[in-house]
Amino acid sequence: MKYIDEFRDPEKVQRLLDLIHKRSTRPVRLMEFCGGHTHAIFKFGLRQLLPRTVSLLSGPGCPVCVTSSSDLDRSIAMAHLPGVIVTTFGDMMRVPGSNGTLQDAKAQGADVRMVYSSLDALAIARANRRRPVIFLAIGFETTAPTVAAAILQAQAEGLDNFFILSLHKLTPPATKAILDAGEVKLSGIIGPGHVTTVIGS
Amino acid sequence: MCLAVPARVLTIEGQEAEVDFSGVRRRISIALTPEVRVGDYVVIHTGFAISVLDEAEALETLKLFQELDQFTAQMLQSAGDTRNPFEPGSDEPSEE
Repeated sequence: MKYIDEFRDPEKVQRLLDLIHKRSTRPVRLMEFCGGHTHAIFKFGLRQLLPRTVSLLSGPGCPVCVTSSSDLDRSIAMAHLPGVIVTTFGDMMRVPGSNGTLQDAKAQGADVRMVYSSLDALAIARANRRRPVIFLAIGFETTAPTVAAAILQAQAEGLDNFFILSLHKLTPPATKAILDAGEVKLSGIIGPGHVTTVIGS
Repeated sequence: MCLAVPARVLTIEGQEAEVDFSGVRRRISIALTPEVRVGDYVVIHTGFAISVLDEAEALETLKLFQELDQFTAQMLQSAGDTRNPFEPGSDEPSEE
């Protein structure tokens, strides 16, 4: 069991597609929650494989994209404070606030560093004990526990220069808002899988 | 953003583990999955194992795929049958 190959079976997919093409007459709209879903749908060309009756809509599932301008402005302002190092996931770098992006701030001399993990941010704090290191903690339920683990680790090591700006989002309120708004008629939602590994399904 | 991929645990040292993503090796934290053992597959997100994959659960899912496929093949065979087994209910969205 390798947990990827076993789940990829082109013959089964083809048979299922044949049946969907044969049987689908009424419009069906499905919303994928995650940016990861959207990525997979484009990567594997699912829209082209499905009949025109089945449409896929992209949902709110990117915590970076749904970050408010005010939170971005705050992050950028912090990056301009003397001595401060701001650490962030790469996808935050190019998101515009009211006046530029974190990348612009970096170009203007602010110390903004891209990390792949909260633990990378912690390592930067360890290497720069005299400077405040702020980690922009952005993400859904999937990411929140990894930030919590970094805080526990920082406490255990006595790293008092490690800070978190918590910008976490919850997925159920986002889903509920879409369903309650009544703007989109949906037949179904493809739920956020990795979120459910954390909060349960 | 919440992208996560399965990887196999090669070695464990305290709260860290070396894992293999189909050939690429990386050190990750297992602080969130203390139950993990060498040889297990874990789902990695931003440098952390966030869950240990359960073989029984995976086999159950594959069994469902198999059942779905059998049903699909049956439906395709009975091509003469014009009855739609997916007759939409009243709660389906309509085009207007």
